[in-house]
Amino acid sequence: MTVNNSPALLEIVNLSHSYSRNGGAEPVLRRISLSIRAGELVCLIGRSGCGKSTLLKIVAGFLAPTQGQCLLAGKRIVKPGPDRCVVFQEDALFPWLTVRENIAFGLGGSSGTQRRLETERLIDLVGLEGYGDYLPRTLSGGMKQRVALARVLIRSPQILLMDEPFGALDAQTREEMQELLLRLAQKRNQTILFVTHDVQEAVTIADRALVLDRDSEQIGATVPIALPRPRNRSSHDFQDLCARLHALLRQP
Amino acid sequence: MHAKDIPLSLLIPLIALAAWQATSAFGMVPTYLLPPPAAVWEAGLRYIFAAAGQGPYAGRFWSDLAASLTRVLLGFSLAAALGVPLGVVSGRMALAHRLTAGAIGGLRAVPGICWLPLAMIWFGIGVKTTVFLVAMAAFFPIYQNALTGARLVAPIYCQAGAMLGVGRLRGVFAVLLPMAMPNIIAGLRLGMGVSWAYLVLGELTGVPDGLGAVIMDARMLGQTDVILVGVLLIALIGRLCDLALVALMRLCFKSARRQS
Repeated sequence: MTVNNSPALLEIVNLSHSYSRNGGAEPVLRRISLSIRAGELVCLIGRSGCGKSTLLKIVAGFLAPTQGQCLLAGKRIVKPGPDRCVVFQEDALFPWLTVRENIAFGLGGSSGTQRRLETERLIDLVGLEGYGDYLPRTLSGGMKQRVALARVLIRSPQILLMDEPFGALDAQTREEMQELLLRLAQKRNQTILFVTHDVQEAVTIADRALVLDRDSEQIGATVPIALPRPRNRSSHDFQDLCARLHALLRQP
Repeated sequence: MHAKDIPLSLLIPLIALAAWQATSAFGMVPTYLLPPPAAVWEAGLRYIFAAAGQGPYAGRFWSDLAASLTRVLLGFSLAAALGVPLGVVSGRMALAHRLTAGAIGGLRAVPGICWLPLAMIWFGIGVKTTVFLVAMAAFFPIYQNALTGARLVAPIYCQAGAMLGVGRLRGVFAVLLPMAMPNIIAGLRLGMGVSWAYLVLGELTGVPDGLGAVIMDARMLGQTDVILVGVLLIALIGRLCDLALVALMRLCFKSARRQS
């Protein structure tokens, strides 16, 4: 999936963020700079509370950074938009809409036939054939995340932001979802920024892992993951990379 | 309510009816305090079905019902038209909440019955006084529940709407109101219940028609059976109004149909 010579799609320049708490400012991100090329799948990995979700929210436009800026294809990010869609960890589907209506939600008022065709295409793409009329509350966690994926892919976002999307799933389902994501990413040459705390997950899917350090609030290390795909979890190289990321996370 | 729940829901009314029948049959209470069920039943039939002129209150029901229903629906609609938008806006915008919370909280502290003398001075005796009282009373539960419902909508749903390209105004109708719908309906149902309570209060003031007026009139003539007929009819019609309200909301809104 790596396209080494493609230009940077997302650029984060000298970005800092602090939350105000009890009158004081509590820094979570300190002068972070990074760039993601088009077609790249980058994992942002870190222990809980290190600010990785905060960074994702800033890129999504849900949160304005205290300092610095994010640029998507050269344009400054100031508010949420369909060019940067998020798949959340928790269930954020609209509970009064069926699977089909949830997926079509982002299409707004576009014309009838086109809209129907596109929706059905996405339903098939994420493997939800036959579930179009179900309500979210009747679906399992894995299927809900398939809907969440489809409803953002229908907008063809320039970058897909994923905030520990498979964190709440059981191991078996998580692997299935990782495979689905990789298939889709390859097929659409989709750029993805994927937040996780799971080292195995990062080594399974990423082209590159960025380790966010909780104490310095900076990116502590960039680890390219150049294993051939599909990746074999039991191979030595895979295990070595996992061990290396583990060590980086544990560093004081 | 499902059809299979109906037998169970009738259990307590039937027990009460049996106790009432027993009380009357054994002469434990004089009939001018509590007439036997059969007498109340007959009075009810006369009130509802007899031709006008065949005795006191005969056949008055339909015009009383029309009068009362008009007052309730006018007052309730007024309360809903103000309470839902104000509540939703106050639930989402800190400024609006700060602006309205004090005034509305203060007004709420005034018991509804306190408005009666003022309403009579302002509006005289008649429809307007009753509608005013009903609207004042029904407003608070509708407002408060819409506020709570709007406030409880998790930011993640608004963020999901925004990232999928829904602007702020469309987001209110496409995300916020549907998410808050269960609470809005709860508020409307409470408001509808309160509306019937204050309807009777408004009609006790000497209007010529309406179910409350009948009750008050019958008290002056010592017709306990007619009072009981009025009470039972209000209970029944109030319940039907609640069911109709829920059915209407479910008919009109997907978010009411699919979340409950």
